[in-house]
Amino acid sequence: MTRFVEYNFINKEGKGSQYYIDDLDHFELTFNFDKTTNNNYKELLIDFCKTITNPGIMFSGGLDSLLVGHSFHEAGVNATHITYKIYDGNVCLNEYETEFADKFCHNFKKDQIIRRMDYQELVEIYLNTNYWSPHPDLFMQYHSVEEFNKQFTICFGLPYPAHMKFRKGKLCLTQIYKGISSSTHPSFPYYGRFQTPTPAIGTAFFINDFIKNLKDTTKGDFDSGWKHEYYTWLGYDLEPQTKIYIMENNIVDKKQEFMNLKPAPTKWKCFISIPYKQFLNDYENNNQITYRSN
Amino acid sequence: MNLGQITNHFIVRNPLANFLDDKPSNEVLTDKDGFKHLKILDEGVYDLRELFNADKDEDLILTSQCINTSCELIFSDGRPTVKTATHFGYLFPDNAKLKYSYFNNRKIPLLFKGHVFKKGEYPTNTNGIFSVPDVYKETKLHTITNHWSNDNYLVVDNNSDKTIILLNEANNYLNEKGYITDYHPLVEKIAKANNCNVVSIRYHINYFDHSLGITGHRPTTNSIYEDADFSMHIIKEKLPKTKKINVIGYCLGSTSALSLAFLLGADAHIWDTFINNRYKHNRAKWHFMPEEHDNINFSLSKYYKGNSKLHYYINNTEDKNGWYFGFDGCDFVDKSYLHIMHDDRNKMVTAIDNVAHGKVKLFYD
Repeated sequence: MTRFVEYNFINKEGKGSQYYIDDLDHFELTFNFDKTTNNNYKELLIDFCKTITNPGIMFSGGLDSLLVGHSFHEAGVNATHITYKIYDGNVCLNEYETEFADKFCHNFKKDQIIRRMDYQELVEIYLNTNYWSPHPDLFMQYHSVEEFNKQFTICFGLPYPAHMKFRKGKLCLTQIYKGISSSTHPSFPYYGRFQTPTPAIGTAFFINDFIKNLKDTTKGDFDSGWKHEYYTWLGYDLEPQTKIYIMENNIVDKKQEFMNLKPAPTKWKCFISIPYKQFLNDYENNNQITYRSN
Repeated sequence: MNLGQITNHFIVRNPLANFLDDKPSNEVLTDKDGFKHLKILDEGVYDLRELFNADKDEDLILTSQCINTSCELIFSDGRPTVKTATHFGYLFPDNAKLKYSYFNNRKIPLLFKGHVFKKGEYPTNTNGIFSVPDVYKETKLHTITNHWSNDNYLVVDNNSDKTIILLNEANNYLNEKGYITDYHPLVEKIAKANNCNVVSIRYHINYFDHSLGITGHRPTTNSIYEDADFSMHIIKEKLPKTKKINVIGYCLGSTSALSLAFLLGADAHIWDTFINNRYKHNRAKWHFMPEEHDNINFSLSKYYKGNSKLHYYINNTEDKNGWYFGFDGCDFVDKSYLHIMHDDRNKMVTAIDNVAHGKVKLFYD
């Protein structure tokens, strides 16, 4: 299986690593443009699903996880769908998204684990780790891997690179980084964003003819602006939904409160930003290209 | 009439308990659908056919809220008195009366829903639904395995550092197998599938009282607290390698398993349903006599120490109303894992099979 994207984390001495390093200076993304499978991503993903044993899908109910859920379903591979429901007292903070998850599992008779957790428990767990996260949603993903990596082959439905968006004619590929010795955490090698099979082919999400022919670059953020359109173009029949982050959008102050729980690393946000025309030109004229972050 | 309205225990048991909850005992009462109900709390001999107005050419079909140890059948045709335990969709014998009395100093309330049919006007013996009550005769207590056991506990030593405590209460021991004191169904399969030791706990046939953990497992223990102490004692003595304990139970045993897990600070894995507050769920409440009700009015969180995780397995084919109630008002569910599975097999078989056959793994370290 082609890895469409590879990361290289480089420290201040110029030494590179496949995994995140604490003394990060910058990172590089290397894209492998596999022109033969560009427009065949759905079939590619379904075929890949067939190779995964005992999959556990981190199933928030958002469009990305639904795409993976449908892929396993069409592949005929039984997967367990793991849904975190975070509560603030009796209020479910991610009720909107998880209703899509419950509906999918009910309709397609899929095994599902609903992990119910109070927000304060999440905070307590967070405080007992040496992991730093800029907001609770990210930490919950991290913790979910810690909880379930021994039971399942964890699969995230994350498009990569994360947090893509068009901004002033540029395609921004941003990546929020973790900090505080996260690479030494025993669960980190299993962390789905980098290690699990499904997102390893995630950059095919946009490096294909869809992005090439995208006429409207004013839609901004991929998550909220053009993800559903793209997944539909790929051949998935997903119900449109509004992107809602779990905690910070439901309880004002929660995000800032979370940010203040631990001091942030000095450099936790790097990004790559490329003029859209240049990116298309690179795509047309290269089989492989590497971009460097700030 | 839908026959399931009288014979399907899973459908009938909650509504009949709800209907009779605030009703007086010893009165046959009719619900809006024409079904008759009766609550029995007092010792005595009851002519149920007469109470339900069954003529000679009619049969009486009954379902109760639970298995009941307080019942015996007295026959007028010379047959000896027998104990009975069947509790759903049974054909009450023509020549029998029901004797209701104390059983080891306890009585379990008997709540009935009944219907009278013209003889031959109902399907007979469909999947064993319509049958005469199961009866059993007292035999000598004996054992059949080489595992360490006593009247209620059995230990499977698999030389592991992981131990499952199994609340094997869901099985009906009110039959001949009940006299085999080390009859603990599936313990060896569970030990093998999970590569662990098992401490299995069950009711003794002479002390079976359906108290959902309240009275312990007599004669070995008399409360869930004593179960906690004895479990740890037996693990320390017989399974000293143990480092990790999971407590599991299903159906009737799930409430006890949850209580025990909380007391031990262990993780709980339960199937089908559980009762958080026995008093606030009518069917659970009517496992106890009215004078006991004040003592059962508390949440299982009374036992919760904050370090147990609850794994709750349900079959999605069940009516969700049947299991969601278990979560209502529970302050311990904030650390819970609800496992929704899909399995068309019989509920009771499904529950324990998932562990016995390794579909559900309980240890991952």
